[in-house]
Amino acid sequence: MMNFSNSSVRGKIIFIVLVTTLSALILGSSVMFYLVWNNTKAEAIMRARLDGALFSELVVPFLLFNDKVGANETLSKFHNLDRVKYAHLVDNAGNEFATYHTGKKKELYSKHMALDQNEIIKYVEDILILSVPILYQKEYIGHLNIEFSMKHLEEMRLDYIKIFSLIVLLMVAFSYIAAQKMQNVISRPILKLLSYMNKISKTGDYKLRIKKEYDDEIGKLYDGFYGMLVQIQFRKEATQKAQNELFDLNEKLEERVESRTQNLYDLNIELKDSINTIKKTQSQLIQSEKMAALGGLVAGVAHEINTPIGLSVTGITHLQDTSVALKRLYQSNDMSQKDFEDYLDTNIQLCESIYLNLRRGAELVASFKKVATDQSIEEKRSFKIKEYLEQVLISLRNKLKQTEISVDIICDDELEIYSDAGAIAQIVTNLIMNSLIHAFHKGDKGKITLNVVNENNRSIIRYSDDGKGIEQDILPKVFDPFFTTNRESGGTGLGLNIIYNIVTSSLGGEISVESKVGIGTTFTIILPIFMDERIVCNITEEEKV
Amino acid sequence: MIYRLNILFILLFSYGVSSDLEHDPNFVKSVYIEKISRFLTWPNDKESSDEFNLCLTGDSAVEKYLPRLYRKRTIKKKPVKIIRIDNFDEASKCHMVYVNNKSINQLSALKEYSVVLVGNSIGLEHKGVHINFFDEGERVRFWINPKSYKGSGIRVNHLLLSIAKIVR
Repeated sequence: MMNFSNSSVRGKIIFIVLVTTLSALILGSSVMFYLVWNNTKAEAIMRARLDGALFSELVVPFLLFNDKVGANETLSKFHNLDRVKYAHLVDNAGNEFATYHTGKKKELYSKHMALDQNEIIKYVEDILILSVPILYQKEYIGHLNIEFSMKHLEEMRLDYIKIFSLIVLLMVAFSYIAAQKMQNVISRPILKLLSYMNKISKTGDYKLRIKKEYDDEIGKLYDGFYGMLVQIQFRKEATQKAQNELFDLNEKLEERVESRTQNLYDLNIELKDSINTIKKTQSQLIQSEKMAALGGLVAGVAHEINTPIGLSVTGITHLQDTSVALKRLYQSNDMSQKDFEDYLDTNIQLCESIYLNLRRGAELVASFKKVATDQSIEEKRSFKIKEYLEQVLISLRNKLKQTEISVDIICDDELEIYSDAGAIAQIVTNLIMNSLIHAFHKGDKGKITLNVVNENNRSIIRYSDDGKGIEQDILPKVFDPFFTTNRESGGTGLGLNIIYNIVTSSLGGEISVESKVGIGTTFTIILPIFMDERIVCNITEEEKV
Repeated sequence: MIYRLNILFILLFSYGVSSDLEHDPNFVKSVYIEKISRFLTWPNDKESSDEFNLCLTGDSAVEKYLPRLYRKRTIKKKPVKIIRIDNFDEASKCHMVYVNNKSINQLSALKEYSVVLVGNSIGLEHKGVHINFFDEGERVRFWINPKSYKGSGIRVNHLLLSIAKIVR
């Protein structure tokens, strides 16, 4: 079966026109025929009833006067009515009184009909049977049965079918011709446009034009197509131009690549030199920082030692003065027992004081020595972290004294870690100095907390201050080298970067920072635990407990 | 019931009832008087009368049948009274007068009455009789002369005219 949607426009138009025409014709004709048929039939029945009424009246006297001859003569007048084929008059006793027939006499359909005092109309084949009771002055005197031929209706139907068929044929032919004309009007310009499009496809000449015949929808299709051609032409030219430029560029590209490659090579060499220089500079800076840290340490040591030594000097000077005074008394024999006893008491007290101060100085020196040595020697060892951090704090005491900042170490006294103690000291020193410089204004009260725990084979050092905090937008940059917010005051921007490098490279750990403006800053340093077996065993035992 | 009575009536008053009677034209004419009456209309005074007065003048061949026929039968739903009249002055009360050749000369006296004149002799239809029986073979037929009853107040149904021979 042909697929309607795939058929040609011509076929569709012809099909639609034919179907529409035939449908309208069949529908209209059917309705018309139905109405005509009904009217004709009703008219035939009405005429038959009129004829029946007339003749039933005409035969009244013949029935009354028993005039069969007259009745037959009256019925014979039916020959003027072509459609009456048979008539049958019976008296009130049901006896045949008169008959009429055309052609060969045959058995009447109505002869055996039951007589009724009402009019009966009945169809048998193409015969309309009318049975009329004959009344005179309300007295039933007989019956007249008339058979009308309804062949004219059948003939009318056949005639109608013939005429309808002829009209259908004519209309189909006319519709076909009209559809052909119509499709010519529609499809010819489209086919012409198609041919034109094929020609353009073959020649590639987008400037080619044909004359449009009408300014209808197809004319607008032509206009649209021409507009599209203009665009294609424009783009084709633009593409051609771009291709030419591309070709030129390709030709020059090799030269450029070669030139750029050489440039890149030169730049690469320069870059390597720069990197080396930077590395060298960075190393020098780190070293400088270390030296600065050591310098600070020394300054701290000097300051710390100055007091016990000063006290010791004062004590020893006082001891010397009292000893000289006592010697003078002794030499002049003026020395009393009480003088001597006072001298002894003073001497004991001064010695005690000098001893304490010197011991304090010795302890400080030992402590500074340890820290200074750790900072100059990169060597891992096992040490008690709390005690070590306290020693580091001693070296910073001088700086801390000038502020209202307190430092708390929250840590198990016996907690030991196996790490590079000097690196830890440098990290903590740098963090505290960083807080003192950046986190607090001069005169601010503050608190720095160092919290150290061992967890899951890791040492976690949480360094927190409750200073002004770091802005979120610069927080990710704080570990960048040379990043500082205090360059005008001599900040190098290497403090936290050195810490980052020490933690991540030297100690193999991680460092992160969290901060909230107005709340404070927390650095979390996670170090892998490198303890000797004994400590590991101790920790394991502790964990077991 | 009415239908059955009609059938009985037809049997009694048709040729077929008795072979003797049906071949007697005078009997047929006697029967026809009633049938003809059905197609006739008299003025109101006559139509509203209680009896149908059928009058006879002179000798009449139907005389012997009429009393017997209409002794119990009606004409126009009225009991029939057979009246013999000798003087046409008496005819004013009659609905119908059966005349013969002898009384024909006095017919002009009846013109002022609404009386149907029925004859039974050749040519009477031309002499003022309204309805005149005649024999046509074995059939009994009748003439009607419309001119003769014109102005009398009597009306004749066209159906009766269709079965009669009309005097032109």
